[in-house]
Amino acid sequence: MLLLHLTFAFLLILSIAVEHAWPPWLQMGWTSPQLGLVAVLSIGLVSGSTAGAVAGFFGAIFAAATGSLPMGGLFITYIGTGFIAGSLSGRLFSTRITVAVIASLVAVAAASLVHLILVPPPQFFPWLRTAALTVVSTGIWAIPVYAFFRAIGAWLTPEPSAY
Amino acid sequence: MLTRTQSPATNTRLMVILCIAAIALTYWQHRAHNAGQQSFPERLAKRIVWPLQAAATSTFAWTHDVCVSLTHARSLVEENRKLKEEISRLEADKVTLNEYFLENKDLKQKLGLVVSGEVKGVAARVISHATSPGGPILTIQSLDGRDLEVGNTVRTQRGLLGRIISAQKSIGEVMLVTHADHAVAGVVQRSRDQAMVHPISPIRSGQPLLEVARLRGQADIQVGDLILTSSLSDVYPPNIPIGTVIRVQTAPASSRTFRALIKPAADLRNITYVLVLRSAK
Repeated sequence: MLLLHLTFAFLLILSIAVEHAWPPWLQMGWTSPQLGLVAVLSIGLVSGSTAGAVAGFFGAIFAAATGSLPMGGLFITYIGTGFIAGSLSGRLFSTRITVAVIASLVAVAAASLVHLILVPPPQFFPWLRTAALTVVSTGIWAIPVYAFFRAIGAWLTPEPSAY
Repeated sequence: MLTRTQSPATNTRLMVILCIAAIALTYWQHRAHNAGQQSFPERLAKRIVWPLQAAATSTFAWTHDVCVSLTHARSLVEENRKLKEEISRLEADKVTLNEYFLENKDLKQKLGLVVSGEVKGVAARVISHATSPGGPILTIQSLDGRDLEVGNTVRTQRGLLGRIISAQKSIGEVMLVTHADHAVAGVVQRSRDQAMVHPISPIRSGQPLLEVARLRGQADIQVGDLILTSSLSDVYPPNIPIGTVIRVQTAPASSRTFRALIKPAADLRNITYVLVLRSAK
């Protein structure tokens, strides 16, 4: 289990690093996918609410530091995303990739709304366009990211017989 | 997949601890930012992420280079041939200019004039292109390990990129000229008119552009004019190319107000290496 948590911690930091190193030629309308948020969501879905919330907490710190962003709004969205995804993963949420994609779309839209409330942009429609493009690009990139997290989780999780 | 048998009490306790820690960290960050600094957790987190960011940036750049090489092989060969010819021509120019320089230096010394030193520059590599709410922020690292300082001017061979807004030893964050919070005093090279240069949102313009506002006196600015940093600037050294005027518009509210759109001199979408000028004002 320790190896799994360490691996997920490394992958979370790597996701945030890649998000903030996203090259212009891969950007969709000057926006980058929120890979850090997708990583938190994936950890929540794979490992549960506790791991999701903790991943959200540290993910918010790394995302705020790397992107020179205020921490307050990121804590709300990241911890909330990890916790809610983890809480619902064994109930409403299945481990299907499509569910992860839809969840990531909702999470990014919620994160954009929180950002809109806490740091209102000077113009609404450019913000709306940016938010929509971010939601779409994050939804696309959530497919490989979540699949990777799920595969790592399945690989490093002890078999039930080991208990 | 994993055990999810946390009791509700444990979950509640954890969430309370996380919330308290989050509030404390947010307050710490707020206080540090008000003092013009970064909080310790931010600095630590950046230290951890930067090596991975650098690796990711290098990987993306390498992938891009490979893709471009594969898709444009023939045109690259032709471009390579032209560049070699250009290098030969520039080498010849360099020799001539060096002779002029030595002659000029000799004349200045004979006339008793002070010979100004060369601008001290530090080469640096871009290790990440972050996006902040105001626009792009570059993270750079000096190649020889020398420390970078807040306020250092950053440019490419073509022109001005921006300035360093935070630095930790050899790593610094650069606010680009297209960042929403950026403004620079410029001068039109042809007419010597002073002008403040502001960015335009890339979402509005579709590409990173700048605009000139508040032209002093009778504005004499035309399409094709080169805008340089002004000697009136307290931030940047003079005569660094900012960009070229690509369109001049008269604002609808007043025919006396000009709005000149400027294409940045530096290619802001493909920056790998930059020069940091440490002798900036």
